Amino acid sequence: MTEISKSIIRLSTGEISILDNIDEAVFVINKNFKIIYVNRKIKDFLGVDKEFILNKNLVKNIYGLKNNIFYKKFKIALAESKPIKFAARDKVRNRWFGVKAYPFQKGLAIFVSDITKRKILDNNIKENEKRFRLITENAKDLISITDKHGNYVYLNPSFEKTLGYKAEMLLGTNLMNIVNRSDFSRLDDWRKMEDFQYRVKRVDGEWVWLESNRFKIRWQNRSFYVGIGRDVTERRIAREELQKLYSAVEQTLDGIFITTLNGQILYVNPAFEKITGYSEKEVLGKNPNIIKSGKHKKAYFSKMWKTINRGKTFRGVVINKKKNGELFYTDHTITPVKDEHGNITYFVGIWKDITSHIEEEKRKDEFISIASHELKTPITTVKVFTQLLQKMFKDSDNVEVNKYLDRMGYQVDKLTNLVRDLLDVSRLQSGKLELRKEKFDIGKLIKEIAENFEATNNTHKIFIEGKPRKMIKADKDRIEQVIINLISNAIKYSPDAKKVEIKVESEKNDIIISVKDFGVGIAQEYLNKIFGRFYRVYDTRDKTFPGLGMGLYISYEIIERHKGKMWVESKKDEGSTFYFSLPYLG
Amino acid sequence: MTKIVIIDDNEAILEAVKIALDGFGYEVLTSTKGEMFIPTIARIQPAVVLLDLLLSGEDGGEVAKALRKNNDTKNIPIILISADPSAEKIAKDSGIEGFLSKPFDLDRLLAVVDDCVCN
Repeated sequence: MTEISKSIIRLSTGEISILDNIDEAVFVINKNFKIIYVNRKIKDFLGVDKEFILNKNLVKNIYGLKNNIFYKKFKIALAESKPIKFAARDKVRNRWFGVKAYPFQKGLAIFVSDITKRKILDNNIKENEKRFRLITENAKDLISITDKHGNYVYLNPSFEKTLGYKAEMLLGTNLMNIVNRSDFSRLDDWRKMEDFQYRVKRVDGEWVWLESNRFKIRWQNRSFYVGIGRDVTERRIAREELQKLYSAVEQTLDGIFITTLNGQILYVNPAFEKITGYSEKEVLGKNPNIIKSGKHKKAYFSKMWKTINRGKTFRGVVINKKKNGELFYTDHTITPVKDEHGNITYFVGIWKDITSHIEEEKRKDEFISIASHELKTPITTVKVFTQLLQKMFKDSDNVEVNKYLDRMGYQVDKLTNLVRDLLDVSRLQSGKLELRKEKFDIGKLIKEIAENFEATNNTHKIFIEGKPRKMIKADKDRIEQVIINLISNAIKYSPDAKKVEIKVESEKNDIIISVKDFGVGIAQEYLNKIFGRFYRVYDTRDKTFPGLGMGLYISYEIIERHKGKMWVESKKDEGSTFYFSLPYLG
Repeated sequence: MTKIVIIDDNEAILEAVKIALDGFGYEVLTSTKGEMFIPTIARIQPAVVLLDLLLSGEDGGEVAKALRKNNDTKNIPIILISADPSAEKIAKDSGIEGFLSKPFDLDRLLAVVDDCVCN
């Protein structure tokens, strides 16, 4: 039995127990766990009075003690007669207790102190450390700690991963070794940075842009600097790209504007300002119709809105009005901008000022128109005199004179057709081509044309397939012009073939006529170009064919103006089939 | 002999048509002016007037109207000549008897003139 226990017993038997005034709860139990002494502190620990618990059994009468850690430890202390010291949590009361138990002859003296607070504090420190580790180790940000000279003392995994270094390669080395010093020259003090962007050299020598904050911490009486950075390389590249795009938009000669879904202007580029004469300030928040010229019908713009509201791109020539009232022509493209869900968020309008181009076109068309008129007068004279001579020499025996006169007549006719085509093109351009519709038998017309061709051309035979008697309402001269054009093209572009096939087919409302040749054909990539003005087809040997490239354009436009359609099917070196459809009723 | 008047500002055309029609038994009188020639037309009473639509400084259409207004010329048939084929519609709409589109065939010229003369 220790001296302490002896003293306890002695003290406890006294009338005034000084043990009642200490911070620990004191029990003395006999070997059967009967409480033979307890101090007043017990009330704070177990919530019961000293008198109530005295002479009760520690295990049986105090709730939750049976078989718990305390009971087991006490049992060992009694059995082995050895003092013990331990800390354990009382699960019932949810408290941490520090226990010292001293055995003596009759039993055990137990001193219990409440160490819950200390335990929680200890735990918190451990938890905090763990939490801090977890944060730094898992952070996407690059976290580094240096001493006051800038030597690394800690690098988190993200730092290692982003820059490719192993921590041990850098720990103890100075941060100046891997940062871009010229970037750092922008900084007053490397110890202080706030959202500062600079480059750090990756292990492979590439530069990585970081945006960092650095601040001082005190730890164990020493100063350290914590740097928290983020890889902004991609963001910087994206920004540079954006900057590039922005300067393109700002510097282009095309007018660009962005509007809300209601058409409120959010942005206009300098070209917009320059061309319209309106400053950005004057147009922001306004509707683009401030530059409306009034030259278009309402339907034109409602069609435009319908197109863009459906998410489609609108393209067209729009006549607008400048601030000073001057009109200008634009080749307009309006594109809806969609978000990731496919909802339209803005409209972007881009237009090219084509006023000078349009004026030039107008002057050119006017020139063609005047030139073809002027050409017709001398042609008329030559034609009349040629035909007069032909009549005079008709009955003469001079074969050569007749032959030459025929040649002249033929060439004058060619010249006449060329001039007619030129005039047609200029009329089509200015929308002045007029149709004179009448009812006629298109089958008969085709037959006549084919016969004429065969009479003057002995290289190709023309086959007509299908029922050739069909009444339609159309401009007979113009349709004749189209058929002649298709047949002469078929002959011209199939110099090695011997036939041309014409087919007449009836649909419900339309008649479809096709002209098929077995000639040079047209490569796929040119198929959509051949109906364009002045476009000409070349064959594989780059052999050029005579003509100005007006015939198909005129034919196409004539058919379009008849509310019909013209299209082509072709294979290079195998030949082409040109189709056109015409409504019976015009 | 059947008299024919032709008005065109281009002398080469006048010469060609005159020679052509002369050879087919017509007596052809030519003029480069329109309005100023109306008194002469009224006096000689040709069987037909061939009139170019585009005269220098004058509108052939106006000349046609003036001929129609004049009591002495209003019954003389007119053949309008133009390089613009769509002018045929204008001719028909204003009650003009014939139309020739430049460049025209000699046969067509003779046919149109014959047609007017016979009617």
